[in-house]
Amino acid sequence: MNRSYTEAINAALRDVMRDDGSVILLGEDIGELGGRFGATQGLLASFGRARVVDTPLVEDLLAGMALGAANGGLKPIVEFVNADFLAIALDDLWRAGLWQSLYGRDFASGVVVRSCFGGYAWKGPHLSSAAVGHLIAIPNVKLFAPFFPDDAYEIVRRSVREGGLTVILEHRALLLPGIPYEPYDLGRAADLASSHPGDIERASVLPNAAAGLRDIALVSYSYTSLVCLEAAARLEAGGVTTRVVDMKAIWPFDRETIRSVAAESRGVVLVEECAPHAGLMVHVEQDLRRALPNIRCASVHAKDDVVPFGDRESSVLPSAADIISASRSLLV
Amino acid sequence: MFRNGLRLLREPELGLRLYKNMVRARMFERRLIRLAQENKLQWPIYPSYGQEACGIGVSAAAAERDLFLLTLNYRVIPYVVGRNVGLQKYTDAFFHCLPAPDSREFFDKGFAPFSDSLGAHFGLALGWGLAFKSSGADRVCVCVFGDGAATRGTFHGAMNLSALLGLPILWVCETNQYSVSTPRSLLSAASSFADHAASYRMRSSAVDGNDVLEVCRRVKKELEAVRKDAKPAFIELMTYRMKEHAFGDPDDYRSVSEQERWEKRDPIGMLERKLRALRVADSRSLAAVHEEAFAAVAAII
Repeated sequence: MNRSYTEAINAALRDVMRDDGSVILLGEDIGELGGRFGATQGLLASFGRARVVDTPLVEDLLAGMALGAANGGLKPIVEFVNADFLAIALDDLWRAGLWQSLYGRDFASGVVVRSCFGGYAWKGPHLSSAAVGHLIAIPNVKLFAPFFPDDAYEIVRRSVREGGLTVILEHRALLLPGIPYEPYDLGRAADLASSHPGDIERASVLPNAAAGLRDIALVSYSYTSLVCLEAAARLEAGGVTTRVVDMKAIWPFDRETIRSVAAESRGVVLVEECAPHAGLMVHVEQDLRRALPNIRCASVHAKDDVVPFGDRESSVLPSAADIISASRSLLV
Repeated sequence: MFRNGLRLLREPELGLRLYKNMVRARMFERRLIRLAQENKLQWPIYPSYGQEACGIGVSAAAAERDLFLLTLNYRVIPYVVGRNVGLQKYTDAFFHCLPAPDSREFFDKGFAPFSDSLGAHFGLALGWGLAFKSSGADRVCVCVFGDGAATRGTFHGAMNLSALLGLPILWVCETNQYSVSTPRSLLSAASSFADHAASYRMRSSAVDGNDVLEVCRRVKKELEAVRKDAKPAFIELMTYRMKEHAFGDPDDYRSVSEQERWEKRDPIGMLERKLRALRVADSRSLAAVHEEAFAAVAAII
């Protein structure tokens, strides 16, 4: 991993703006400050105020503004600082998705939304939401939650190019690397890379080893892919063979890869950091059970509770230990 | 002398065209309501009866290249007629339950996709304005809404942002005095929506929305200012919804005297009196307009 998550997104924004003069950025604090997480640093200086549009607090207008701009021929990328507040924009996002079907023939309606989500960063109950269940309900939405910086880079660039409504969820703990309380070591992922960086719809299988039966497949996305890598390392040390699937495209998700990995595993553990009813793994599980009726499948979710402040968040969010015990329960 | 009387004498064909379009809009809508009474329509109708001067006047003032943002089916018929959309296309949508009135026909006439929830298009207007500004196109986004939508929080955000960014948008508020059943007096503590817009330091004014010549003249002036200054402007058209909110809704929340007062200010009647007084038209030519409109509507349905 040569560049940080933030650097990758910054590079993607810069490259896509350089290559296509119709790309504009919309959001709060994306100008002089360069974004709350630094993703838009330097872009105002390079591209000017006409293309890096700093806005007041208008989450209730941003996505609608992006849709209008897209209808008018621009290619907007919107930054919502916190996905916790994406619900404010749900009306506009719904419309942006619906209009792909209603007006897609006559109007471009490519809207790319980037937003920071997730816990593991000690931000407490208000800024730790990883709920994605309400986002996957949006018509025609393409939802990504990349873990590897190189994937994030490709996803930003390709989404702008391909049009449609795309929501890219960038994990808080990945955007703020090196935070002292970070429970899982990003260094563990440093030797790994997306197995298909060029194919943003395709899940990565880690390690990218030859096919063959393994004991456990861990399936996740974004930061919990790292938690899975930690769990996998400890399971391997205990003699359990593993594979980790990093989904990156989470809606629609890569059914083929997940099914084929599951078919070559004795058990599958699905991991995400929200309550079961607020996430998407129920849909992955349903798909797996339909495709592979004899599958042994468990899931690890966050507890259905608020994320507390500080290190007490570990009492709610999934841990490597939770994943290990779910895995072992499938192997008895 | 009437307001705009000289103008009417200088440009009699404008007055006649506006009259013809208002009559046509009303007849078309009346025909649709008849069909709704017979249970033949798949879509609800939100009658614009009494407000025709707004849509017809604004449409006549705008350039063909300007873009209209309206809310799906909410009193849009005067705009549909004013922008010369084939009414058959519109009717087809009503009959066949299409997701939207035939897109291409509308878009070719300078309509953006129709937004659905009221006031949802405030953000869309900002985006279109941004696109026009960045491409340097000499186009104005005309965003039309009512006093109900103007009480949304997004109204303020959008007014503010349009002024901050200097976007080529004309905000057109058709204040028809009711939000479904809630009267204007219970909708806003402010005395005028135009006051709100003015506080964001843009051109802002109110005009008699039942006087089609005045609507046309003032909107034209505002559009020129938007083009020249590359800034938004706001215009409030004071009018009255003479029918119920949606066809078939109860309509017992307002007084007969109020309705009668506004009926005297019916936009078609107001213009007709001027046309007659200035001898731009007589009974015969006015009757011809009505017959022509009736025939045009009868032909499509």
